[in-house]
Amino acid sequence: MLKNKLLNKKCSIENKVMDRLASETVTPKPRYSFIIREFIIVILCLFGLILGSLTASVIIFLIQNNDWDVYTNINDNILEFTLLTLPYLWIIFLVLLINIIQQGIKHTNKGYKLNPIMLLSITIILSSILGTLLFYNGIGYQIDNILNNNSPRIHKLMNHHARTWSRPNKGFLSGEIIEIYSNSKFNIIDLNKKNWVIMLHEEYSRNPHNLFVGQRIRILGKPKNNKTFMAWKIMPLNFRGCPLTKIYKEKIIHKRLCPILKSER
Amino acid sequence: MLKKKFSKFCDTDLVKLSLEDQNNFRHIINRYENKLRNYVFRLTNISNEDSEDLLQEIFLKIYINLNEFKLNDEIKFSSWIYRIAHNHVISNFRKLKARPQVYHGETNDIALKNIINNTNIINEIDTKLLRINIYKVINNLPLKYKEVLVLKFFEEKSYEEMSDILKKPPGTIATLINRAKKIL
Repeated sequence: MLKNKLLNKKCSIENKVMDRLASETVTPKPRYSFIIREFIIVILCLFGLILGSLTASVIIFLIQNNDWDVYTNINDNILEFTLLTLPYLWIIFLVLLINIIQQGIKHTNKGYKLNPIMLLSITIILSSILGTLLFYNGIGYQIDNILNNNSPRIHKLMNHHARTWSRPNKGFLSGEIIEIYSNSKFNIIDLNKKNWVIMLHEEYSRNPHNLFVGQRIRILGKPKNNKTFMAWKIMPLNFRGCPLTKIYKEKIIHKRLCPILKSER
Repeated sequence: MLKKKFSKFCDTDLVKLSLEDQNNFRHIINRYENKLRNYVFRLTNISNEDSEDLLQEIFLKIYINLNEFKLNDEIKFSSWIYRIAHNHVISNFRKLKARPQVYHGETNDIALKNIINNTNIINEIDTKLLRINIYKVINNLPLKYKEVLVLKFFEEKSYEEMSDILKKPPGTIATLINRAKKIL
């Protein structure tokens, strides 16, 4: 009886665990490892929030600079046009980031107690506010521009606007003015880095005297041949949401060029 | 004598003492061994031997992470210890790619009464039949419903404690219990 009791005691969980703790020299994880873990989660959440705000600024920039002024040339129905031209890939990226932030907050010591709907709302509102601030400081434009300069393929994928205005055969062309020959003839480099000579179509109603070298424009018209494009409407490209410094610089260039253009006339 | 002395200490004191001297951890094991054993049994249908192994690993994990509780002392030690047990059981089953099953060996009349009283259908269905069916139904419930039912009716935990154990907001816990009751 006593033997059995002793044997049971020896085999009890308590003894087994204590034996393992001693034999495997198990020690409690130091306190700082938990502090560091918590700190890393908070930093990752903040990083996610910053990334989310940057993404939101690009989304606002792309929606603002969607072709609302010429949507009838692209699609007759405004609802269809809106649905077709929303920056879905950026929106998916933002949703993923918001999800990561939420998961991160849930894994903090007290984060799981927060109401998930409230948490989601706060994350969306914060990202939108910060995104709007960044947009007004030209960050959305800068990101889009950096993507365009460094990886045009990804840029085209992410930016519907770039895709729309890279179809010269369909009458949509965009690019940067690199040389002005006369009031009705100038040279641009398009988003695919191809040179085009732009000539004003007979139907062109407005005098484009406000054009200047370095300006980014959208052109509606039709190609005459492989190198020449006949324009019947010219509009600025990506102006809303540009950094204030860039707008200022463009105005300076414009002021400097205006007398030259006028003398050419 | 020594056991009696330690039984007067609260959980937080025992944690402090265990961190100072590993030997004191045996008093935490003593205090929670049966509770956790029952919980593991109720959440799974593994054999006695397997559950013993699982329990050993759970206590090792508890010891290794003791400092985490000290940082997070807003929650009850019992909730924290159940959380570790719950996570370990779930991750163990994920590793085995099996689904935790409700233990149906031992009848817990109090827990069953709790469930039956809470479903308010006692007058409609024969109690005995209901008991048999409840076991079957709980066994087939998705894990998220099963774990709240076990904690609420078998472990008799409050919403706040369940929230701390499962790391879910109390509102979500309440919704899960209501849905589980409806399914029952």
